[in-house]
Amino acid sequence: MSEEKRDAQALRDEYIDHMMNPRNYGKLDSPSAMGIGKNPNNGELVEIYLKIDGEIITDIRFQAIGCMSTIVTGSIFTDMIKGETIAEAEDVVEDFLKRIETAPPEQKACAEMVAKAFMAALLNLEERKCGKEAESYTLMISEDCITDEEE
Amino acid sequence: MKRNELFRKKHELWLQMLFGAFSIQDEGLFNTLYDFAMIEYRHLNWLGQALCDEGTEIDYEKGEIDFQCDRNFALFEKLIGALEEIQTYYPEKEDPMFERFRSDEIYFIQKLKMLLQNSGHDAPITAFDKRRIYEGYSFTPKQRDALTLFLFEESYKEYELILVYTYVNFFINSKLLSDIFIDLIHESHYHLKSFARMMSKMGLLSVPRTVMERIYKFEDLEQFLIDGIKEEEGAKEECLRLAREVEHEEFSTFFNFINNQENYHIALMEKALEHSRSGGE
Repeated sequence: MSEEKRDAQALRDEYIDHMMNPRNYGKLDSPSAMGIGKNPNNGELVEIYLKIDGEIITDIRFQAIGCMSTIVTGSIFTDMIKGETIAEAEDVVEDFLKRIETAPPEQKACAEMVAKAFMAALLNLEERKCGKEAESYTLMISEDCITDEEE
Repeated sequence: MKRNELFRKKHELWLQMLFGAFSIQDEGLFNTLYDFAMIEYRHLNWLGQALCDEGTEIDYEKGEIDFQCDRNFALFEKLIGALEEIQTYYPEKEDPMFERFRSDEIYFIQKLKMLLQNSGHDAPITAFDKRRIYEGYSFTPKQRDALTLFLFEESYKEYELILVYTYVNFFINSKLLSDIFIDLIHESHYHLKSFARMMSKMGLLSVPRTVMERIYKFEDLEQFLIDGIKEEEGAKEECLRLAREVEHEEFSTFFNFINNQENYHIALMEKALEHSRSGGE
């Protein structure tokens, strides 16, 4: 990563707070849906659990095998989604994916993994509505977090 | 209470005592609480082994760990409450393991009550104030960020390793593998203590997130060891990078020391892999 990018990422208090106390971390018992966003190259993944009442996401949890950037992104993302309708949440995801377009590769991969986990959970919800008994749905990310420097 | 729920309670109590200890700045008080926490870890290990031997499924799920207090005395009182509560969950029937738990914890309670008698033991706790200042050292924002990220990543990793090796050991028959994992558990306890004490001094102390079940309930020991060796190599690189980035003699020396310890962890894990491949379990 370039010096400029590193300096631009000086850790803000809000970021530190999410590292110390990740919001909505863990599993939900008997979720309405569960999705997995996975990086096929290194085994990192995010699981998202949803509890849905009508169209409202009444509860959401996530857990991850990944770095701190994934944890912080999951914490912020799930906070934004909780209490929203599914349609509103889909708008948030669209906006979220647009905003990470220009992020450094490692941040982009972490954020995409969270977004894909949520999208996978919605696909799992659809499956369950259709009577399928699939426990979860998995989507792979398109970006890898390996930077040129690391390669 | 179901026995797997008791295991969860013991896990939570261990973390409450351990991170409570880390939050205290006074070295003497820290050492007392840390010793108690390490005894609680041994209880957890014995309980886990007993439950696995009887075929009870256990996991490392945990709720919120209530250890953040603004003063030492408030923490001591909280720990007394937690120690008193857990004893109500132990089975009534005579059992040497539970008798040992009771006996240890009654002593911990007595000792904590004695500490409460001396107002000199009370002091403010600043381990969570996010100030990110390490007394006596001056870091640039870049150095401070590098150190902050490293401490969060590695404190979680060491906690994860303690739990994984502990769990694997419940099911292993090979003495060689068991000895290697016990060595690695000791090493991770030391690393976790070192990193968490630094986090406490910087006002960044927090309990690591829950370890996902799929990390410790794996099928393939060889793959676990191969991945573990890769991770140790990654951790080594991080230590070297940090030693360079922090550009401070004492910290650099410390991170080089940790880096050299990782070399031996890799050697131990390679030995375990070789043993496992030759059919030893």
